[in-house]
Amino acid sequence: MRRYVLSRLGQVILTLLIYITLVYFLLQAMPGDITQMYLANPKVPQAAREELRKQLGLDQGVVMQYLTYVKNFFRGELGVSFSHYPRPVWDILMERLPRTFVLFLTAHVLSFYVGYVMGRVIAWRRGRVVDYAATVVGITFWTAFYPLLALVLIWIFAYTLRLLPLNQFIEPKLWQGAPFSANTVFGYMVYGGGAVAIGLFLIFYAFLRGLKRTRRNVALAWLSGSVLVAVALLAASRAGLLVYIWDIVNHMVLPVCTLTLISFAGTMLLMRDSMLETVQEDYVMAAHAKGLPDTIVRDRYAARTAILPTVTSLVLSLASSMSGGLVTETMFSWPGLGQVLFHSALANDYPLATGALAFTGVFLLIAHFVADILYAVLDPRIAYTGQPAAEG
Amino acid sequence: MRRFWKGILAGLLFVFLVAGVASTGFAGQGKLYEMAIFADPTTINLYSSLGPSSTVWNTFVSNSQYYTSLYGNAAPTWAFVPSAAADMPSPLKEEKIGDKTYYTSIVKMRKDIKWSDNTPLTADDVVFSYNAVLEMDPNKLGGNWPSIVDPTVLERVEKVDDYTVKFILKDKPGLSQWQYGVLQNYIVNKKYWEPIFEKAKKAADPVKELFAHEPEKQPTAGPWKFGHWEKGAFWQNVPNPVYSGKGEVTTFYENGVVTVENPKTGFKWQSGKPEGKVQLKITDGPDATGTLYRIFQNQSAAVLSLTGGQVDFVLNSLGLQRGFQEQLKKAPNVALIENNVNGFRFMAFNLRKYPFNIKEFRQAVATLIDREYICEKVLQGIAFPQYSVVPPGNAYWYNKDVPQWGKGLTRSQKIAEAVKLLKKAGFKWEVEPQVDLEKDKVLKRGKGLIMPDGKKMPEFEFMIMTAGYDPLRYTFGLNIASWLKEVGIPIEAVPTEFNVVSSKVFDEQDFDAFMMGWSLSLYPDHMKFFFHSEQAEPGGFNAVGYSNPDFDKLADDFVKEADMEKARQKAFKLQEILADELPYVVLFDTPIIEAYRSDRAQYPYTKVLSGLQYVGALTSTVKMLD
Repeated sequence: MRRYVLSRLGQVILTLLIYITLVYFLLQAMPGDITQMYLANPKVPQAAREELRKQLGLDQGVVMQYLTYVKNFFRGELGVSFSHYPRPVWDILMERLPRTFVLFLTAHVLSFYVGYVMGRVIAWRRGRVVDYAATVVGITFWTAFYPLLALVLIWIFAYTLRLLPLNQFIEPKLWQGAPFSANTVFGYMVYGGGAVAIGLFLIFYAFLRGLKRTRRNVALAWLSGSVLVAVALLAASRAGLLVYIWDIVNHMVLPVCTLTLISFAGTMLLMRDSMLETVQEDYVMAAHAKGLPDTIVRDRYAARTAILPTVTSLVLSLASSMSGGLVTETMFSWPGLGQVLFHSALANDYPLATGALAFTGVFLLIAHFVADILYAVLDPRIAYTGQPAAEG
Repeated sequence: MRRFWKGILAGLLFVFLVAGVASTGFAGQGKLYEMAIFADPTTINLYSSLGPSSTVWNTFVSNSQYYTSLYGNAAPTWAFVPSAAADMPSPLKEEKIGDKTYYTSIVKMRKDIKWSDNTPLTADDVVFSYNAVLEMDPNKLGGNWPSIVDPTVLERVEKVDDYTVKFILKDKPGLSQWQYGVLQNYIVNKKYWEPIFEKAKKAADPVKELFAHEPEKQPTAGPWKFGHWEKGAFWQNVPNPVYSGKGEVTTFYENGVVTVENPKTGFKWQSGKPEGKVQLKITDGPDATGTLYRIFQNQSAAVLSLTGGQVDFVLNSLGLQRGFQEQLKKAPNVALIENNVNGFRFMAFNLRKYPFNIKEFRQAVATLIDREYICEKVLQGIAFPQYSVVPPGNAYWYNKDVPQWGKGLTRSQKIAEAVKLLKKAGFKWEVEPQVDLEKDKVLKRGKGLIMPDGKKMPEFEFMIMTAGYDPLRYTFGLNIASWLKEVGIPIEAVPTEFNVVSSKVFDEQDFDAFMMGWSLSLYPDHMKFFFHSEQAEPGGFNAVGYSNPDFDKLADDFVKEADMEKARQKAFKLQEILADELPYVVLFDTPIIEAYRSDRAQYPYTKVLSGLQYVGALTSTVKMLD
């Protein structure tokens, strides 16, 4: 196992180096540089353009710039943004990360949950109306033109019904003179939400898996879970955070629903296919033969095995939560890392564009690494040596 | 399954219920002036804001809202008027200081202007605002600084007394460098900024250190001061409680005279003797209790916010996309504004190459282009034809008598005229184009254009913008190529990304022909920058390589001219030369369309060159209706 992990780690580092090199030189291959913005103003003398080149280190050769970049990258320094000079790239990424992460993580988890449940159900009822209906609905949304769907949902729920905020991630009038910055609140949401989620998982795991699943234990699990959530909400309220958290949640509803509608079908179909294979297995038939209820066979026997490829897909999509999405961010005025990447590339802001790509690349590689390890742990058929193990 | 659907339904109901309740909490706007903008400003820091990080969004939310200058241009006529100065600068005079001769001018300042911390704005602030930039080196500060505090013109500024300053200039400046340049530099608070400059000077990289400072608490002299900035969401300004311009009345008379009167402080100034009717009277506020700039990432959401009453004005230097016009026309309480812009889009050739350096060739091309047809028929009136490098909207400087190649001619007349011009220059054809002038028909398309040197003209590349970047230029480009091919000019329109065009044209100067656009400043000194031979080097602005010693001399005289009327005559002459020689074939531009809530905002005027965005959405003179 140790050898396997080390070998995968080595591959990850090598891939990262190749990836950064590619990203760096691809961005450098774009025509012009950031000093071209001075071409918009004929009164700016050539000397000012040269000064800026010097200031930003563009007067050095590309290879020298690359070597400096790689050296700094592995020291954790991503340089200074050209278009937000002299703000460090790291600072800009950290400003955008929490809001990107909260939105896309929520959307991916919700989309996964809906896809997983639906996939499980339609596989179990394959060939029936619910199978066809869910597949048609899922595929319709999956293939819908995303910006149009977003606009339609905004128009219905925000503009016509006025149930939800029209755009943006906070309501400016609430936040004028707020004692917290939005990023602080996003931070609390990530850490607080994470802590509550872990707490709930432990409570339910302890009561429903660790102990015998009785009515009393189920009730206790729900009660403890509710108390935990209530305490968390009370603490947020006492700290004056709740109204701001709620405002963000309120603004998240439309983008999260849109993203879920667009993407749940992927997980649903993956889960369906996986389930259809699993239900043919002998142990599922054996469970049926034992006379176990349908839902127990479906959820505890078939779905638990069938979830493996779906989990891999979730792990990778969770990592991509870090990179955001340009269309979602634009349509819902939720400026995140997707926009940083887009605008920095357009502006020839190499450090920021490279930093944003490298940052998301690192997370994706870590996710791949974790998925590989998880696979190796969960599925004994995957050999640590890299050679396929004999089936039997 | 049932449990799953119940859960989803309950969750959605809960969210919609609470969201509905929450969203009703912010319905009332009061007198807050709310605007939609489309990108985050990059900084609060003026030095960085006008430096490399300069964006139009910075100007909208901070520069034009916080600072004053000695002089400015009073919209909508753009008359040159004093702001923090009490009167016009004294005439420039030669003066020997030490062993050098300089030009000097004295400016007397108003005594009634205060900073938001209730301290007076004095000569010390003015002197610091200029000398600190000079000391830091405007070229190193970058961006707009070298053109505002031009180190080739300004030596230094000295304090004469608490309310008088003396400008010491290296050379006699023209209008563009003096009235439209140096005298319009922003004035900052010395007490606040001096220690920051001192600290920056001691740093390893002074410019970086200076730019990194965030002056949230700096005193301002404009109508607003900084309130709150939530990056990615909004920028808020709050009123300067001691703004001295409050209640000040600016009056525009029929004879062009402008008067300024402040009933509270007793300050009075007039540019001449007022005669005729009062054309416009503007009372400064601000009337709004604050300004809030909501940051949207797409125009659709901003337009929905406007029609829904969430914002009062959509503030964008490009205006609104044409597609929204119809939608907004039908919206209640929304008014649309359409104004001319100060810019143009053009095609140009590399005049270093043969046969593009032949004047008649360019004239023939200009004649063949039917600007009116594309603007009216193809683009359905969303663009207007243009012929001069000074747009008609810049009325004072625009010469309406310049030649307008091909205007009013039919298709066949245009071809006949182009053939005549090409023949005059010595061009021939393997198959000469033929037209029927009576029936306005092309009988034979031209083929195999032979250049005056006897060689067949090779195919050349015409870089046009991609349809995604600018559909108008793309459409124009394709039509131009098709018309030129009709007479046998072997042109190939190639949609090219903006950065590629910009790099090939300005840095490498490796191109045949291209299409681009310019936004201009009021004073038309761009004519010198775009066409003077000293700018023809790589990286310069005369990328087309136009060279005409007579033009160079006249352009030099023009930028050095200190008399407005004489400068105007020279500008007219420059336009005539350019319209004849056509280093640029000017094509068209688009009007700027803007929209506002007529039930919420009342502006003193809406007709102004480049729209209300050009005057920062009139935050201090807009009246907010309850």
